[in-house]
Order: sequence, then structure tokens, then C-alpha cells
Amino acid sequence: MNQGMRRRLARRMQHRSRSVAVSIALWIAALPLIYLAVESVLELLGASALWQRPLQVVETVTGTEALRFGVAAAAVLIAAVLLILAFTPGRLGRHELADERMLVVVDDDVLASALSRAAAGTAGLQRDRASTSVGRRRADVSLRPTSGFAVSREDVDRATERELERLDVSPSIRARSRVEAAGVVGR
Amino acid sequence: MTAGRVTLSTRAIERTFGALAAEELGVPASSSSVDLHDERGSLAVSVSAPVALGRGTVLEAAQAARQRVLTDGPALTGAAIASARIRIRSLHEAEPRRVR
Repeated sequence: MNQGMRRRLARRMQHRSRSVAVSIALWIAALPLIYLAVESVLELLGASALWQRPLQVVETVTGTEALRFGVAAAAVLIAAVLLILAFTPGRLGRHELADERMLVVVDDDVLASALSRAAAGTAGLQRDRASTSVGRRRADVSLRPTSGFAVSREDVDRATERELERLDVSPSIRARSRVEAAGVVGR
Repeated sequence: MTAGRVTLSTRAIERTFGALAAEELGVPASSSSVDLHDERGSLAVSVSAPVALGRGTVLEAAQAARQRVLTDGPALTGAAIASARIRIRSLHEAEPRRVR
């Protein structure tokens, strides 16, 4: 696997595909045209129209106040949604792990869980007392200490930093930890 | 990272504080009961126990028990104590009669 292909695959796995949006947009554009085509054929054959004759349809839509504004509003709405889908990166909340032989892309939940485990282990807490949220560039680790036993933030920061170094994720993440003021009795 | 870890169970911490207070109050450790709460990350201890008669005033005994929990509690368990409350539940004779 060469570098370019590897990069392309990694990108694919970390971004949402636009194919669904594209096919929906195409159907929205195609349906009125298909209808007009059907009406035109019926007109040519001299059969009675399904709803109205082709030119009459256009007249009705542009002539009726409510219908005209309705169609315009729908068009604006669809356009806005499509523009947003087109220009936002559509990231999926995943990171790539460094590996020599394979392409490894993991969900951010997995990274959060790994960081929680590292933080809780260092602080001497149960796993469920650490929670982590992972963004694209940073992770926030929050710890609930055991009452009476202080947690060293520096130690936790060092542990999460080491974990991130070990995983070597890209785009790289900076972890920040926080020890909650209120503790929990017992462990 | 060093392998393994020592943890004290909540029960062990409670019994330690209870025993410390009971000793100052002159009653058996088993007669005390302890409640632990969180106080901004430290422990709020409340001990409820009887007191033995004939050891100064009840208030002095209670005060001594409180002091004992506050000083020896953290030394023995390593837990930070924010506050300690002693509740005297009843009065006992100094030498509890042996039950045969």
C-alpha cells in the first residue's frame, strides 16, 4: 500500500460520504421532470392529462400565490441543506493510529475509553469514576475522587500524555484533566 | 507504573474511626457507629457512640474523641478528614458488667 492510497483510505474512513446527499438531491430534481415528461407524452398521444397539460402546470405553479411561495421556500431550504452538506468537512469523530503495516482508524469513543482507563488507573480509582470526551484536537478527562484521598492532577496528566504518545494518534490530541471538587465515599 | 495497589475499604475506615472515638469515650469499639460523607473531596466523619461514666465530663470525653479522630484518623488511614462530629447516644457505666 503506497502512501497516497493510504492517505486516501484514511480520509475516507474519517469523513462522511456525500453519496446519500447527492442521490437524494438528484431524485428531488428528477421527480418533477419525470412528471412533466409523462404529461408531455400523454399530450402528444392526445390522452387526457393526469393532472394538467404541461404548459398549464407551469402556469398554475407560477400563477397561484401560495404554491409559488411554497415551491420557492422549499427550494431555498433544500439549497441551504445541500450547501451545508457540501462545504462542511463531515468528520466522523475518528482518529488514525500509527501503525507500520496497517491502516488503523478508531472511533473517538475508543480513545476516550483508553484515556479514562489510563487516568483512573493512575489515580487509583475505579474505571467508572473517570469520564473523557474526545474532540478532534483535544480530550477532556474528568475524575471523581474518593473522599479523603486526593488525586494528583500532574500524575494523571502524565499518564494520559503517555497513553496518547503510545497510541500516536493523528490528528494529534492534547489531553487535559480535571479533578471534580466533590468526591465519592468508598470505592 | 508500579504494579498493584493498596486500597482501604470504606468499612475498614469506618471501623478505624469508630474504634478511635470509642477508646477516648471508654466504651467497646463495637458500640460505636460511623457515617462517612463527602465534604469537597475530603471526609466528613460522624461517630455515634455511648460514653462511659467517670472520665471527666461527657463534653470533655466527646471533645477528646473528636480530637483523636481528627489527628489519628488521617495518620492511620491516610484519608483527609474535613470535619468530625461526635454524637453521644447513651451513658454507660465505667466498667461494663460482664455478661456470662
